[in-house]
Amino acid sequence: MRALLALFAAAVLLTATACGDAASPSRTSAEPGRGEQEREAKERREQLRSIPAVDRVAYYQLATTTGLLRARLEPATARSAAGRMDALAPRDRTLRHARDHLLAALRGRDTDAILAAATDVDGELADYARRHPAVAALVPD
Amino acid sequence: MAGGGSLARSAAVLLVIAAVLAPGQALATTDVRPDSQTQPLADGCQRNPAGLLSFTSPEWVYVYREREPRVVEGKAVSTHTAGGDLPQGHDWYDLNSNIDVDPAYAYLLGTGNFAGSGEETGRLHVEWETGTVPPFAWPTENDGVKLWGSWIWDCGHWGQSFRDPDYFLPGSGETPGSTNVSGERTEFHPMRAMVVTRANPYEPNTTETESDVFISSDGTTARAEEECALEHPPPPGASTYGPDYTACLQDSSKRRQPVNDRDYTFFVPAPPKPSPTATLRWRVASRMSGGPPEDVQVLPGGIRVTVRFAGFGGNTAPLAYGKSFFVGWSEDPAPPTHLVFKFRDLHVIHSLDPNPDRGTQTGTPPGEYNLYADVNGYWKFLNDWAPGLGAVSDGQVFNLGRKVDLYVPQGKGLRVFIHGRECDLPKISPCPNTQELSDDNDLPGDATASFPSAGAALGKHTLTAPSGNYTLTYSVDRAP
Repeated sequence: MRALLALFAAAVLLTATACGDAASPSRTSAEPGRGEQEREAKERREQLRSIPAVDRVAYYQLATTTGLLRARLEPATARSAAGRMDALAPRDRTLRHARDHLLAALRGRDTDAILAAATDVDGELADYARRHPAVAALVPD
Repeated sequence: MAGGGSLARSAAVLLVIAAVLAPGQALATTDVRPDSQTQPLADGCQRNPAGLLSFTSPEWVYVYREREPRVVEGKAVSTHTAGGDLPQGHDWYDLNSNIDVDPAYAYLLGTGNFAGSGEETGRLHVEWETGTVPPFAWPTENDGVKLWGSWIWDCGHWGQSFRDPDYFLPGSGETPGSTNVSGERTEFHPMRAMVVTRANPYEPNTTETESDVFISSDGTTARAEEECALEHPPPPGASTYGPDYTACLQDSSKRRQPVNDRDYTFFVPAPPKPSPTATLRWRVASRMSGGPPEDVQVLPGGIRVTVRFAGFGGNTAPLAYGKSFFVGWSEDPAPPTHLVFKFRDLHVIHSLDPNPDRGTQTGTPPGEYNLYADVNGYWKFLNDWAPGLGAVSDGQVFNLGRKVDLYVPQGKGLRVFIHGRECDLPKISPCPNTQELSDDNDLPGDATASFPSAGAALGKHTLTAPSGNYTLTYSVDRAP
């Protein structure tokens, strides 16, 4: 068996992958594919209209802020995050609770508490996304 | 049977060990078109919008869970920078392009790549951050490309149309029996090596083919997400990845891709031979310092170049290579036409802060414009010439006053392309770190002008974005 495994390992390791002043307006256009992309962006905005604007922004900001905090939890990141949370005014109760919870942790400046709050907020955002699946359209290309 | 299962398990373990301990070794790969409806979920995508935004579910995972980089050859179309990207997953906005792949690489397109009718449809979308890729290597329309990169699923998008209810919640039963959910698309993201052979090179003043080459170990956060998703899969049944995945993302070494595990070989074709007596000539221009040497083999119809990266440099230091290769003949009976392209005035009609068409942002003035120009592959971030674009008001005019020498090969034309973004999202360069609240950036819109020949481009022109947000005035003259 050991010889067989060694042979297999060797085979795995050896298998190479080859594997003028009077300005004239020039022709302008949005190229076909890009036009389609802009149309999709418009469709996306239309779908998102089913969600109140304040909630849409709050959802996006809460989600990406927890992401930024996970990616780089530094004092400057936390200060910036607190500023953005402070400015949010969601109408939805779940989002409002999430925002208050995260803002309180950010103001406390305790790293563990901030990350714990971010985890709690994730759960609340997932709950919101189940009730408002159109938020999937907020993920950019 | 038990013995067979044990062998299979041992083989799987060996595969993992081989992948982890010898990442430089070429491993067996699965060269089969993947099914976009089922394979992304097996590979680690989770179709979880909240998780994607909050960095608890990866935006990219390796196809077939194979980290071995893939190669693609084809033609680049619709190249531009991203309008919006996820802040936590990017230091810089991505450079995006779409590849019409040569038939030998058709398997790289997942079944979902054929859905819709956009610029990505039927193509391999490729991305790498603009802060990593120097503009000399940015492709433009119809350039030939050979690319090495991570073959991944774009976990952020799994549907066909925003009009399709299944787009928002696939498999939810909202449209029972629907087969409209196309699933995720495959991409190269990030790339590690790019060879861009210009369809219409602007730089050579004689008839030459130009191939621009860029190789870098900077895999950006995309590479880290892919590595961490592979090494730290989510707990069974979980809708997000665990804290080990998040912790892994903090390790900056995960962003590094081992470019020195192989050599990079490509062919630079010569232009048509002008006479039987003409002899082939080639030259090379360095675009950046550092990097390994290359071997050049002269063949009857061009040169074969091998960048000797295997074993070059260490395993931790950043590595990069950037050169351009030019191939021509000893005779040039029809040299390119020398033009002077002058960027004159840029008029911002709507600053987009505030933007009356979008209620989902605070839109505090001034507007933060990022605009890019592409003239036959000469790429320029216009904010470098007009920093005031970063804090712009309605009606503001910027006198750019910059001239660029362009050579247009015989039989070729001139294309001017302007695009960009108005920054409302936090953190990602080259946008300022705005404190605005928004769910995306605004798009000032694209503007394109195409002329069939150098002669047809002569004169002064005003290019107006169809969106009505800005105009660019420029002139094209024959060089004295």
